[in-house]
Amino acid sequence: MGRRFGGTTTVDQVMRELRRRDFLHPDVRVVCQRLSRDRGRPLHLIPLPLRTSISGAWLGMPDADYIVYQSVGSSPLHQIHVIWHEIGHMLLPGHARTCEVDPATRDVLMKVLNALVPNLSPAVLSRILGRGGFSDQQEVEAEVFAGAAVRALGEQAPDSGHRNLTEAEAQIVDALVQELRV
Amino acid sequence: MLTFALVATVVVAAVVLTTRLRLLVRVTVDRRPGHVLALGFVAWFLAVPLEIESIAVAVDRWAGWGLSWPLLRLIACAGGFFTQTFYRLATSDRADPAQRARVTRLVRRSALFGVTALAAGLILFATMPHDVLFASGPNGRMITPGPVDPAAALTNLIILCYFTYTVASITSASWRWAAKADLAWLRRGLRIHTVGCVFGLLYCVHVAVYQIAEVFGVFPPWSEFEGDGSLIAMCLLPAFVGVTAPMWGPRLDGLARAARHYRHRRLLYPLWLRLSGSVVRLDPPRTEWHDRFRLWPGQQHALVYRRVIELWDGLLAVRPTMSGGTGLDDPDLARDIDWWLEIAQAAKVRPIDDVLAEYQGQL
Repeated sequence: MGRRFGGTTTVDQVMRELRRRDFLHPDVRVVCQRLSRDRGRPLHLIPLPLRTSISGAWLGMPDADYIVYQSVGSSPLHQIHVIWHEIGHMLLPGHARTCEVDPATRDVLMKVLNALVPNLSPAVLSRILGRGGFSDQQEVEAEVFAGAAVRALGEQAPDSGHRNLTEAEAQIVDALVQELRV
Repeated sequence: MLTFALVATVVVAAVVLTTRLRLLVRVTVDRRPGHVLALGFVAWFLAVPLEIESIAVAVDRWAGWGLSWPLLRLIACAGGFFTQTFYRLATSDRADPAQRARVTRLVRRSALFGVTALAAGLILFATMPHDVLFASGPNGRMITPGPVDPAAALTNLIILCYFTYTVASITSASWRWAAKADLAWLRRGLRIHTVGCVFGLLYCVHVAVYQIAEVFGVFPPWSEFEGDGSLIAMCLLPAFVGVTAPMWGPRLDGLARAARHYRHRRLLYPLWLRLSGSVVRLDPPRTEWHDRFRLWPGQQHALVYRRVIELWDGLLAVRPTMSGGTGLDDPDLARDIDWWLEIAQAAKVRPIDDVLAEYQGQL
């Protein structure tokens, strides 16, 4: 995916590409599955009680991606936002680089990495990006991306499903609505 | 009042017509129902001015005979036919050959009825175009009750029969689908439309009873125009409003939602100010007035969502040991907003730490 999105430079373009390729889904886990398939490498979601100033991180390993997110202390809405933020880092061009994190966060992430991938080389740490503050342009971009993704999913949500209607009746109701609204 | 209602109807019709005609130029798989409905709107739109007495008189004066009378009936019957056809096309399974054949048969039958009734009515009308029944203004029977020629009344009733048939058929389809439709604005719209159609049927009954009464020498104390005009206004306004409800209803919902989000964002402002001071915020309002004047409806969802996310960020920054819900299922902005509103309310009278401790683990 990173390579295929390589030509894009803005959040809007990446979002448009995601929409065009039908990658958007209300369940962020499905999005991760689709991205994983497309990138040809596993993408794991790791819920952790981070208890640090950072609420999520993307760990780009040589053969897999890990998104660590705060598993307690916030709501599903916030956790999903954090995951979308990290997906933003994964997809937005030029985002793979060192992230300044505080020592406590670094300790937690190191433990996670060691548990996931023993004998981790320090070079891998150069591919960690976390969500703890938006002090630079890339963090802002990832945050804008997360907001745009959630908004796009909100727009996609259907008004309501059909209840107690046969399939033919449901089709007619849809046709009526389609004809009567612009 | 009546003129105002009719003019308002014309305006609504013009707006609807404009929006519907946009569809005509769109290339889609099957736009027949849309095209037929647009033609129906054109007919109703043209019929409304002729219902206004001063316009009808001007048309008659220009023609030198009662042109507005047959013109109005012709247009109204066309409107009835197209709207009826729309319902038949839109409420049938187009993939089913049997249903398609049935709809074609019904449409042809209605067209035949319409052409026959109009032809018979207009031939009768042509024999007496200056009859007092067909004249507009104070000299006509529409304004001044009095005896009418039975042949003229028959002309009226023949054309009215077809119009009644189309309105009854539209009323029935609209009522049946209002009961079945489970999409809120379609259901509401069809119900409003049905109310309009019922007034249309009352108009037909009024015309028929009035004509027959005059033929038999019974003259009601009100003019036919007064009764017809009121019933037509009460028919067309709800009919237009109802049939366009799926268009404007969701927008109305969107505006109501935006107003709610604005109110919630403003209610959360003091708490956000206290909690999010330690986190870096994205495009934060510079002042409270800046926050207050972010009014554009399309932005409200994103702004309240942003506020909630920053509240969580702020909470985790000051209380990293806070424990809350787990799992990614069922994210719900409204539930988060409610939760934060409760906290904001409680934090007005108690220290924020006490409040947060109490609410720990509730989401």
